Amino acid sequence: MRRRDYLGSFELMVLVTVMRLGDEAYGVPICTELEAETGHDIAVASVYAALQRLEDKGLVASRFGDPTPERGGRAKKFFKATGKGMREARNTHRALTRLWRNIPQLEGGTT
Amino acid sequence: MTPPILANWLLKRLVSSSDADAVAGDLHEQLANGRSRLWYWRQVVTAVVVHSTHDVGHSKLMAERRSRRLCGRSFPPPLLNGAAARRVHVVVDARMVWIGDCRYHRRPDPTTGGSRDRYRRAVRPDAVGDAPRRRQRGSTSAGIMRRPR
Repeated sequence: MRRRDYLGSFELMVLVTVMRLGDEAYGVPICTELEAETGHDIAVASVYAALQRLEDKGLVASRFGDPTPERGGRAKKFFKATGKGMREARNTHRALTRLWRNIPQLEGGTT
Repeated sequence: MTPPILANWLLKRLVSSSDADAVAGDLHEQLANGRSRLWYWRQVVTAVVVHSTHDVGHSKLMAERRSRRLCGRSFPPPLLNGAAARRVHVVVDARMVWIGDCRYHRRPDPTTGGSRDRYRRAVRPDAVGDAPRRRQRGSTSAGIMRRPR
């Protein structure tokens, strides 16, 4: 495996969020969704950096929408998971599920 | 609420072109949805830092070239690891704000030419032409043939 071929945890979260949002996946909803699910403040730039890495790996594709006045005349950058991205997310999910099994510390919700 | 002008300017200058517009649009939208100006500023500073570290992490060689061209000093590659490389990058980026629109480290844009060309145009406008750089220096056979005997 080459260096950085695997998905980092934040990249995985962003990829899954893009998949959840479907056609409406652009910066604002991705950040809102991540903040709601993780309970942490998310920097917009970190999300774009992760999306750029995902795009470099061919896991997401992007396109620009039309400029809108509520965004100061700037276009939205929409993201969509590619087939490779879907496969990668599925494989990572399987691997994590396998790793998660038989760890008593993680079962039952006790710390 | 209108976004801070200085923050927008920094964003435009220091973050790569395609993402800068998208990030600025997202921040503008969130500001209109009730976020504070302090939050906006925090996001802009984060964007500049994230962009700088991401870029150097991507190419240490580029940071070395930048330091040589703009600081007039070459740092050996081992010294450009981690924090040192980031510092060089941030200092050089700050200098570029004053030089003008010479963000040569950006991805090549097919409509405006390569990133190296943009850098040359900004720093040495007289040295940029249609011919490749090697030919201008007369190092190719074509250049040698033009010399008077």
